[in-house]
Amino acid sequence: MKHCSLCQKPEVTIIITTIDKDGKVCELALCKECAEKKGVGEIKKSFLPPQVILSELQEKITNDDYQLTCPACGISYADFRKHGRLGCENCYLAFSEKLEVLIKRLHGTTSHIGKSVTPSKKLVADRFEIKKLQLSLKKAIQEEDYERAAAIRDQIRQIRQNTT
Amino acid sequence: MMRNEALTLINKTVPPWLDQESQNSSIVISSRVRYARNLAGIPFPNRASNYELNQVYNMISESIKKDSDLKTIFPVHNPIALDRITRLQAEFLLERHLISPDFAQKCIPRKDIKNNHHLKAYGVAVSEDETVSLMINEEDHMRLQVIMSGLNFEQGFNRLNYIDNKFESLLRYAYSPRYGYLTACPSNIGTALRASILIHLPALVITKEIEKTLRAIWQINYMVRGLYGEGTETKGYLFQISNTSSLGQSEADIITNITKIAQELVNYEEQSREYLLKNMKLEIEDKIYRAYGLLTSARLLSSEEALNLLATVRLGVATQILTNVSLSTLNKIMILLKPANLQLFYNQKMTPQERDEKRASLIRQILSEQKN
Repeated sequence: MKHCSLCQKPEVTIIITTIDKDGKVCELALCKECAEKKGVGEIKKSFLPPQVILSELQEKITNDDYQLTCPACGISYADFRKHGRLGCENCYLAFSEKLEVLIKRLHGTTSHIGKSVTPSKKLVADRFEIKKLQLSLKKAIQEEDYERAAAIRDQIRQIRQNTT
Repeated sequence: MMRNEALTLINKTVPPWLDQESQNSSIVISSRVRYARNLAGIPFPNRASNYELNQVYNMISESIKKDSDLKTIFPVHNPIALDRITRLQAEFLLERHLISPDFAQKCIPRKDIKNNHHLKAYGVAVSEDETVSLMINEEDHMRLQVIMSGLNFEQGFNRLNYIDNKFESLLRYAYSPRYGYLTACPSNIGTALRASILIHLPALVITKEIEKTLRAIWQINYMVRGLYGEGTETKGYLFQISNTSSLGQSEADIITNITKIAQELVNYEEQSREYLLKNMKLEIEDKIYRAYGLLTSARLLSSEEALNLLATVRLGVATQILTNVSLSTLNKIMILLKPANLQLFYNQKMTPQERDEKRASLIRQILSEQKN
């Protein structure tokens, strides 16, 4: 008979398997009372696989969800809830409040640790980007598509501003 | 003709990486790692216009041409646009885990679209040894994957990261300091790294320990699937296990954790095998010899039946009950028995019945070569 890891009562209703930060697999056996005290119900909820969490999004879409749109790509939060896919990187800003809650459920946290885009790598990338934009600018001018040319010019300007 | 030429680079017989026997490769069949990446300033593929998708395609293929290392990894004809790939070839790539089911689906001709011109914006690049593959404009602009035989995340991840750094020096990725690499689905943000193993757990299935084991893995937030996806858990005793969370842990942590889980599973499976051999030796031997007998004498074999028999024979080879077959032979058969791989191996289209016959004869032939 297993004993509750917390109060040592010889009654176990739930066993939680976790991995600690060293990657060691630990078992925590809890009796009913301790499980409730620890809010194991909540823990269990956060272990839902992403597919389940994403499919839950499709339920109860509100009018507000249709009103909330991303200014960059035009999708509404309702679109996202239906299909589970965002339209562009700016959606993360446009829907930030709502996504924050979702991301917390999906990953258990909301901040990134790990590899990052480093400035030096970015510099090289920027130069490459500008060069390519200059080419398409030239092409746009040749084709007398001045609207596109102006948009490309602004893009180049923005990258230059960001790098300096 | 054009269509076939595009894939000549890919090894028709067997992926070279699967031929090698490496650490724990009798239990862990393969280790896969993938990064999802998007280019800054361009909508994700589901929202991008055809013009923008083409832009992404061109930027990525230009980067490959520009960087000498990338060019070596992905030689001529890389990437290949999906309009140059037949449905059969797409299935072939899918069976080898080089593209995803959704991506393969794109190559099925659509009645509402007359030509497949729109497929020019989607592409796949594969390295010569088939360890590295890149999908362009799948769910994200880039899905970069490295697959290794056995339990070998370290080498696989280093290669993945190296290639990603090369691309990153030439392309601007969609990135936020808070959420890391940004992806179309919020479940992939952060490191945008997924690590998964394909693992063979016959003894845990036979001893009925598997459910408990898989539940424990599920509880620690890892995903378990059968070889053919959900609901097919026991087919071929093969399971895929992967991390579900990609945010809030570093790449190294993700790799370390999945490696530890894999090692635990290997230990647990080995203990169960010992138990079986001690307590049910005759039954297990019978099961293995029956499976071997069927594989070496059947005249018709469906891919599912062949895969199941093969999984049992694999247990026989790993426990040295069968000594005249090698693991790499089994790996070879495991790939070739799949419908599209079988047809491309013989370079002819076949009906399911013809396939079952050819499959049975090919397996007999490969196994009889081993005997001598």
